[in-house]
Amino acid sequence: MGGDEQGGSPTHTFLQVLVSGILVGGLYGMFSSGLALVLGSTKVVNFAHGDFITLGMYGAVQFARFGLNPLESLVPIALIMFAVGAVVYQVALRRSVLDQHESPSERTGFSHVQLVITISISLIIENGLQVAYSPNSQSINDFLNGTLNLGGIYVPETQLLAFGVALVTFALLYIAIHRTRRGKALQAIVDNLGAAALVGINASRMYIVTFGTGCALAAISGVVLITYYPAVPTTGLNLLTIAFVVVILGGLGNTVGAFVSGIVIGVVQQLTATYVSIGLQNIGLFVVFIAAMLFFPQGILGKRGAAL
Amino acid sequence: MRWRLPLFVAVLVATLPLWLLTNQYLRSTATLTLLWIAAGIAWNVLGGFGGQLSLGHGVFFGLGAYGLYFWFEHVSASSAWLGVPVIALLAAVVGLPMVVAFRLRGVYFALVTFAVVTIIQDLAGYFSSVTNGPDGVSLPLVNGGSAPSAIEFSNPVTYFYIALGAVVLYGAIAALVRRSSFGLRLRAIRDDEVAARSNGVKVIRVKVAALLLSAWMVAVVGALYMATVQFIDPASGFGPMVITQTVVAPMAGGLGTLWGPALGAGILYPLQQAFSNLFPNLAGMGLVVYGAVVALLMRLEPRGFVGVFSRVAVLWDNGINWVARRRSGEERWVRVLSRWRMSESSLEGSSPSTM
Repeated sequence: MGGDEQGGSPTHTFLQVLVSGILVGGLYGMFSSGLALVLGSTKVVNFAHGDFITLGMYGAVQFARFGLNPLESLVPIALIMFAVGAVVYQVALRRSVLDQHESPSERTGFSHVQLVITISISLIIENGLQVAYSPNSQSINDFLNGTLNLGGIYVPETQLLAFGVALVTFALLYIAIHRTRRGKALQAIVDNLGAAALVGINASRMYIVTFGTGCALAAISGVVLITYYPAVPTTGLNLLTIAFVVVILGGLGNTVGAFVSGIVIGVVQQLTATYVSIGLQNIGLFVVFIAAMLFFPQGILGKRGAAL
Repeated sequence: MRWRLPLFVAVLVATLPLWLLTNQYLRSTATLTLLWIAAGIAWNVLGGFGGQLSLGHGVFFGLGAYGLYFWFEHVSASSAWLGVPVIALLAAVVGLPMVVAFRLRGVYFALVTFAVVTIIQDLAGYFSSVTNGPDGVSLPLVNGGSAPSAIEFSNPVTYFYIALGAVVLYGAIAALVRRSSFGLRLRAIRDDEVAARSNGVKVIRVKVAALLLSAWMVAVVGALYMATVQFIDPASGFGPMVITQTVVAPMAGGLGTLWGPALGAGILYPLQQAFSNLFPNLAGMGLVVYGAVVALLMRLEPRGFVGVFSRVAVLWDNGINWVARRRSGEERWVRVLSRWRMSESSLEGSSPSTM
């Protein structure tokens, strides 16, 4: 996902880099907000989140073999991955989540059981994909190959589509959390679990929905990502580290913060790739991340009241 | 006698090459298993006893492995035995800036260490003039691969015994740490950092000491891995596989226990290899099984294999009682007696007037 080298003036190059950074960043924002949603509600640090993105990518490849283009397979894959996420949560994680919420004995609020379980799920997905699809890269090349010329700035149609999907999806997520009754219930859980339980909100059931939604968001970004970025079984690992960086910069568990800092991170990454070296694009990211971690432990946007 | 079981197990493992590990594949799998056990014990000093779940120990592992290569290239191959501890010390010191992460707790600490190891992996791939990039480096052969002073042996069983020696040594170190006041302070920090500090534990000092010890131990394993496998690249030195083998295995075995790392890596790595071998056409099958077993295990018994074994031990004891109960009618009297005692002790707690 490096910046496209274009001839022309430095300003022009800069604008080009900025635009492609924002376009990529929108996608980062979408899958990171999924991670933030899961983290904010269930407190699970999901090390398999990147692999749910990979699953979305391979899902689109599989549906393409059936003759559906990525845009058509978007909704089915999102629904399937919602169900997958719900099952994964219910089968593998529910008990440890509820145990932890009932007795927060670990003051750090971080369960090594969940760490091990999500890493194991990640191992299963990565290596399962390798078994099923071979380690070779998979891609979809015959969908939206055009490039738009917006006043001298070149924008691939696929990236524009990805950004559009990210915006729409995030808008839906925002409305679901902030404008619906169920979303308010979710906010109540995040705000005060005990009090939410007292007014009759079933947190345990809500977590199934949030975990499923987190997976669906990851999968949707995978489906649009595959239109311009080939997938290998371990693609998720890089995306996971990006998602962690984004989520922590945005303030743990804050979906809006995650979306905004996703765009910031996309721009930082493209700038590093263009002006320093494409081999170091992620290092710039991590250096920013570690510095921010040490100096702004609450995230760039901070945590104001109830997050999400 | 606390040392009898470990001694028995160590002697048993030492005899394995004589009767079980009959071919080179089994021997190298067993050697790597022992190395991963050693790495797990080392990680457990900081992660288990100290509760600092570092995902960044791959930094030390990889630096140890690459360090041995640099030692061969730039110092001398014939002083490799001296090189291993020195390299490990250097690796631990180089990794010392990681202590800034100690300002952070829990998940933040884990994520920053994860980012650190990812950076190092990228850097190792990027500076290819030093590290030969993603292609990795091989340890040069000395005297046709038969040079004991350069940790190169024509008989591969030697590597097995070196790895076993490391495991025994590390087990002893971990047991000593656990029994010492240092270990007590570490566990105090794990259980409640604020309370530990208010009771006079120098938190940062103890954490740094634990990191140095743990890092040094892991780096030695890295160097021994290099001596055994004689090849390292950024992915196998710093990549996610190292996290799996050094972090997931001891946690699945039993976080913060002495036997956890041994059980974790000792069961999981051979399992992974067995399934990789069983499905030679499906690369990755071993790790699918690995992940499934670990996920299932942690779901059913969060204490890991140690928890499973202690449950089995309880069942075993109960089973023996059950057999004894059927053999003799004495069981009834034992039960009556124990009820009697229980009632007695409950009366002791109440006021004398009720007697």
